[in-house]
Amino acid sequence: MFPRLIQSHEGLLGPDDFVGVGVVGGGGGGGGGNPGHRGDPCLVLTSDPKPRLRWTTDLHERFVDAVTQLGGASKATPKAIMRTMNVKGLTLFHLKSHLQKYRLGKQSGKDGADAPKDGLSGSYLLENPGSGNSTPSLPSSDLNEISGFGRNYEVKEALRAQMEMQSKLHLQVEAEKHLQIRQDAERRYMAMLERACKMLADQFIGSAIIDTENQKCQAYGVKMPRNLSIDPLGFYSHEVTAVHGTEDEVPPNLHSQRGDCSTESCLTSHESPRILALEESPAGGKKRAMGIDSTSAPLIWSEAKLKIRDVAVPQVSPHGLTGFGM
Amino acid sequence: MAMAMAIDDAPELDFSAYSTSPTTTTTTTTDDEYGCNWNDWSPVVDWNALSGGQDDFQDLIESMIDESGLQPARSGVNYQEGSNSPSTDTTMFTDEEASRDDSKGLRLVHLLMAAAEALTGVNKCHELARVILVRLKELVSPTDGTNMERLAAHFTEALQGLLEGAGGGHGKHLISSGPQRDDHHHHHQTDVLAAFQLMQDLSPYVKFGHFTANQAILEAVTQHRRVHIVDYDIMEGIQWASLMQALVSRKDGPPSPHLRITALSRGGNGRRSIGTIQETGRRLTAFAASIGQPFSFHQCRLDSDETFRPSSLKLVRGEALIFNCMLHLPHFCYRAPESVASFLSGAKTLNPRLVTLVEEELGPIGDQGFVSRFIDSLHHYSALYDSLEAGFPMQCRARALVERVFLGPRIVGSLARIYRTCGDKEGGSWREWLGATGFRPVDISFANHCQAKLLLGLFNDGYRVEELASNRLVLGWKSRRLLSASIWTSPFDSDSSIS
Repeated sequence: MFPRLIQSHEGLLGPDDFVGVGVVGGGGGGGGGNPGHRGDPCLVLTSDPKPRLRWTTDLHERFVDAVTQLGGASKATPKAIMRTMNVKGLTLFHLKSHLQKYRLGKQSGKDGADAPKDGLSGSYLLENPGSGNSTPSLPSSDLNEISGFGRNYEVKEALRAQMEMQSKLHLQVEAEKHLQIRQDAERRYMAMLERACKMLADQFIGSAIIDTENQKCQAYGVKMPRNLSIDPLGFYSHEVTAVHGTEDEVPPNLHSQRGDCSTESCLTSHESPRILALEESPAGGKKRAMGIDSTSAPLIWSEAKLKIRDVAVPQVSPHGLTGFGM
Repeated sequence: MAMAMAIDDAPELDFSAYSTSPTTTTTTTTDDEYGCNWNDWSPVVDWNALSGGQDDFQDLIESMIDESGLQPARSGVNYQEGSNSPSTDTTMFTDEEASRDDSKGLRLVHLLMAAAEALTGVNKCHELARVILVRLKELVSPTDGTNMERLAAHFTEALQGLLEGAGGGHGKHLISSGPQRDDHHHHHQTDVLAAFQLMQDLSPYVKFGHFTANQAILEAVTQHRRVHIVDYDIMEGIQWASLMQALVSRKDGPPSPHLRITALSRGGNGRRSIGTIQETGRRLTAFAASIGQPFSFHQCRLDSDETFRPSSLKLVRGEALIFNCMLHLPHFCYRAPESVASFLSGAKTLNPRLVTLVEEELGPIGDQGFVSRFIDSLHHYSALYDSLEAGFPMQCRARALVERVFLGPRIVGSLARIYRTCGDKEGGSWREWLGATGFRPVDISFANHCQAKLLLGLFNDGYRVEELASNRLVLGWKSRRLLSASIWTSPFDSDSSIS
């Protein structure tokens, strides 16, 4: 119903989210009694109560001035408004929601009065139930003169929808935060999983146990597993090439453990046991010199690469370990 | 809030089969052979993130079209358009190869259908099926070629398995590793892990189910101090990391609720998860400790036939009991319907606070026989392949790994299941089953729906979420529905006392 109500960068509430806005009897599930931050009564996802900003007449007038300066409600962006208004302590969050309401107010049939009266400060009608009959853009006195119960009801519905939208907006912001946090948690867990998996794979390599896909042990311990010809990590190509670059010096089975080398530490921490196992490798002397305790803190891969390449007798010094033997 | 991947100034690419630019022939549901409408907008992708700058872009596309193994977005749908009007179809692509691909794709589909028909149709003829499959195998490879070709290769393999199994008994044994399957499906653990991580990165498929279920759980347990989740198939326990984090940070209700997870364990080793359940338990415990979440982990053995016995659960008074049933994980092993049914009906007797169910969304089953369900399955996986490719057209090797490790075996499993159950009425979905058994739907909250939309916004534009019922969110790719997440509660008016 209000196709351009939400700008694309807000992006997530579409027109279909606002069923019945402005339509008599449409009203959402929000209900008039709910405080602005909560949506459905059974909803859990609420935030810490944010300090509410009171939109006094003064402040609102400034806001309207800024908006007008910037070319109108649809042209003005919260950021620009913030700059123009130049009010200390005013955040984008406040502005975004206020702008939304303002736009909605403009669209739901204002009569040319931009500035709300005093009764419309705060979160719009919740703190001033007395003015509950007005839309933010209509002076309450005018409205009361408009005859008809129907008109009042319509307006109430519009208000209710507006409040609901405000709470939805808030929920949206919350949802975004939560999503971020949850994804991070999942990533951390996946990293744990990855390390465990590599440890496991590493033990196999170290003890020269091959899975059915690899045929036989060779001097380097393990023949390159089939899956290496596929580079599943073309996506993470920079890591891959780093490893390939040292292929001649590092045993090829290094690759086999790299299911995903996005975690450098995993990669390098597994270098060591394998290296220890390779007594016979031609470059074994060099490698053995790299004898790093497998329980050491992880090397930075590029550092290790340097050591392998450039240093005949590497003093590998990751985090305080000596280079030779164990 | 700039989370969307789309950039507005990306040049419009006409290489997608379902672009709506004027030169295409796609429009309304043309060929209703597959009954779906593939004329959605072509995906807009954040190319800058994936390749060089805008300047390299055209070159990129040229090279993609030229390189034989990398046909751009030759989706499994091409055959649909090809069947309409091959002549106009070529106007869509300036490339000769493209239209060849289309007709090849079409040919493959016809062959597959013929094989399916020969296998199970009215005029069953295994010999014919065998011949067709041989021919198919000559034409396709699971690692090369277009989406359609790779897909066809897996379907061919699946049909082959059915054919061989059909000779000596029903196909169930094919699903758990028979000797022949071992080579294919015994994947190196790091392969599985890599493929899983890739899948997480390439698509919202797994996360959608997990996050939707978790959000519903969070909302259901706000006032509880103890939460007990019974997980049908915990796999690596990935779902629970984000739930724990959310529980730890929750602001409503009693702080630091205790979380208890009971994982169902099975005797045999048909599983393809990474590591054992014990390891999962240890890992979850460690993770919980790292974020300060009170946690305990238990196992509950299933019977040898994988039947769940409610009595074998340890329950604590006052805890919020949740039954979690994720059937969509890519490396999910086939679970016999009887097992799932025992889990869900067992749940009913225990009066749980919530039952969370995520499953593949199939086309309407009805009375359709094997062939039509086969085609539906073809559709389904075709959409999956396309969704992966659309987001990451350059990472063909990454996708090939995911296909090899997960999708291929899943196709085999799906077909085997269809084969077994076609003709039975039991081909329906579990959510229908739950509804029929008496579980009551629980509404999906606005926040949950919001989260889903946000999640999808991180991936390709082609994904969408629909709320098909008050308690059900469905993830879809273009016009194909892929995954259904539904929330239920106990049939009885539960008055779970809150401790």
